[in-house]
Amino acid sequence: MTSDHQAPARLNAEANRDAEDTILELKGLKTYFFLERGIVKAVDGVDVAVGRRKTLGVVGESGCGKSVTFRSVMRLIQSPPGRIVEGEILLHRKDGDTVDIVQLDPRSRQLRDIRGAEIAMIFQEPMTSLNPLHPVGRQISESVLLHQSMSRQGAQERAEEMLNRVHIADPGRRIGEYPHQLSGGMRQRVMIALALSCNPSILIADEPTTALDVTVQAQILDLMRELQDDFDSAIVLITHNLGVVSQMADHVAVMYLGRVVEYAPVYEIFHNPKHPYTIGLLNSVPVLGRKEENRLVPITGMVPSPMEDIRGCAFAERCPEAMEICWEQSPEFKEHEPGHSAACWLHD
Amino acid sequence: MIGFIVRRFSVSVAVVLGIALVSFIVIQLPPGDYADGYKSFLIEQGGATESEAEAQAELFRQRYGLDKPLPTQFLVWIRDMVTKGSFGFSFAYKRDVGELIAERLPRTLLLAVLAHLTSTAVGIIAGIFVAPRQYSVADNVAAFIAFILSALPRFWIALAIMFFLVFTLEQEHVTAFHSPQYVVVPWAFGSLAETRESWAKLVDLMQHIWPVVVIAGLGGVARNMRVMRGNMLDELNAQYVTTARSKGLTEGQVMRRHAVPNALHPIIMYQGTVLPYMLQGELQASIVMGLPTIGTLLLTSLRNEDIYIAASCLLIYGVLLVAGNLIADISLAVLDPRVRFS
Repeated sequence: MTSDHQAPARLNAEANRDAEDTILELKGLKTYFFLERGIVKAVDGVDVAVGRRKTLGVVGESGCGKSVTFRSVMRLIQSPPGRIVEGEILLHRKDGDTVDIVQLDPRSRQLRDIRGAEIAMIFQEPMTSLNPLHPVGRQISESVLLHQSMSRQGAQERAEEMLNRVHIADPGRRIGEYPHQLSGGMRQRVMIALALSCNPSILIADEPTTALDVTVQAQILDLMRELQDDFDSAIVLITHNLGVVSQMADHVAVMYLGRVVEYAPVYEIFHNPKHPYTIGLLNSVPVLGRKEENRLVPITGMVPSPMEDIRGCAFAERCPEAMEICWEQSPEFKEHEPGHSAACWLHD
Repeated sequence: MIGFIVRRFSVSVAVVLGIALVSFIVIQLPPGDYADGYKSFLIEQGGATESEAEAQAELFRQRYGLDKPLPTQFLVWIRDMVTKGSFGFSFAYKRDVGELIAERLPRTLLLAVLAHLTSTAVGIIAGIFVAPRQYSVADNVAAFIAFILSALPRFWIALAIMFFLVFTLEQEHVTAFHSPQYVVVPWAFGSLAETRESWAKLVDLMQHIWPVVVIAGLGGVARNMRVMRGNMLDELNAQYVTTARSKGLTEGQVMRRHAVPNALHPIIMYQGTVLPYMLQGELQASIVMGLPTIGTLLLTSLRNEDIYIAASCLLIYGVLLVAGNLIADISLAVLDPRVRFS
């Protein structure tokens, strides 16, 4: 555990280099769930930074803590049983202030001013993430009225404009429609419109395309990229789809069992992966035209339970290159090449 | 929306006709008729011989059409209801059934609706209160009380309350709507004196009917609370509630605008079935408390096979059930666009 405390310092060095360009920094974040059958360490020391107007791709298997990490940023973790037990979430606001979101009361005015206005979120299930009882226009204008001094009429116009921005045809009619009248792709567009309606500086997209058809996925990703340029937002793209990451992200954080095991620019991740887990992930992605002898290589074994107390590296028992030290001591997450960090003994 | 209401309404009319047929048949199922009871009354009390009594009974049957075949009786009953607004004649009360019911229906409905509103309001508010505090002390205490309330038989609660009223509070008149001194006081609000009198009468009325309202409503409070709590827990875990929170709404706004309206959905849906449930509660409580409502009327008429009263009471209950369902459907359509547009 001592290694955790050195890790943020390393990241800091990088962050300070271009402090102005960093908007969100997580330092040693730990979010645990205190259940009757034990403590689930869903997020167990995450260090990561998001650049202003940049896209961070967060990848990892189901249950690796990627969603919980960024729900913690929004303080959307249900408590009890969940609680942020340690770490900092530093938001560098537009006005130059820095707030540690961990220190805010989840019910406080300050946090509510951040939610929706500075950090907005879209979710995996467009079918259920809108309230079925309200017209979609009202769901957008509700957020606008909350964060901007605007008349009801003005907010409604803003909602219509936003629907237009996400390329929904006939927005004047659509604002009066209910979620069940829209297709999944359209609902996700509405969610994006809702999220961007107050010009947030960070958009957290939690598997935004997982529930959609492949063709619709591509449209939604195009839309997000287009709007990112228009709205100057940073995007945190949580996904388990490496193809999506390669198209969208500037930087990639690979998570395994509650920790970031590798963080690098997107090109580096795909062409110079350092952590055996990242390599394993890349090998298990099908590539069209790949030769017979280069069949998909699955990562052997199972993800250990996040309730287990693991000695050494959490990936050791599945790692093809595990060495003696891997079973003894957890590797430090540190920068091995400029801008490229990993937690692996292989590179020490 | 209009089309939806018209459609639902015409279905309701057909259902009511069906209920009329079934209630009539059900009433005819027990062997014998009112004339048989009249006959044994003549033999035992009037000292008539078997044949004399039988002749009298036969005469009675002819007079009231009980000798006709059942389909004819049914059609005559329905015809008179539609054309003359007459529900038939009560043999025991020697009065028009419509009058008897008209006398008692408003009071019955008053009791049932009061019980219903109380139980719904209290139950829903309690459910909304305990849901975010799942497994807390308040939640467990509320659950405990709710289970006790729904498990206690109504007639037992009625007896207990009556005992309390008479022997502890020493209230003199329990088995009536009013104390004797208020029975003849008119409901009038012209002059100040009249208003004061009417107000006192209202207070007196409340003192007499609250036990029935409470008894008929108690089970409903428990049920509404449990249902609302469950719905709220489901909705609070729904994705759109997280969306609402992530917009920056306060927890109160999230509850009021998003979670509660969605959680009300199932409650509104069963409003239609809960009205007869309330009438039944009112029926039991009124019979024990001896209040002259439709419940007591139905009970006595069933005992002495006063068929037109019994069938009409069943029909009224049926109509109320159908009306309840209709109102529930329409409210649901107002609340939920998915019902409205399908």
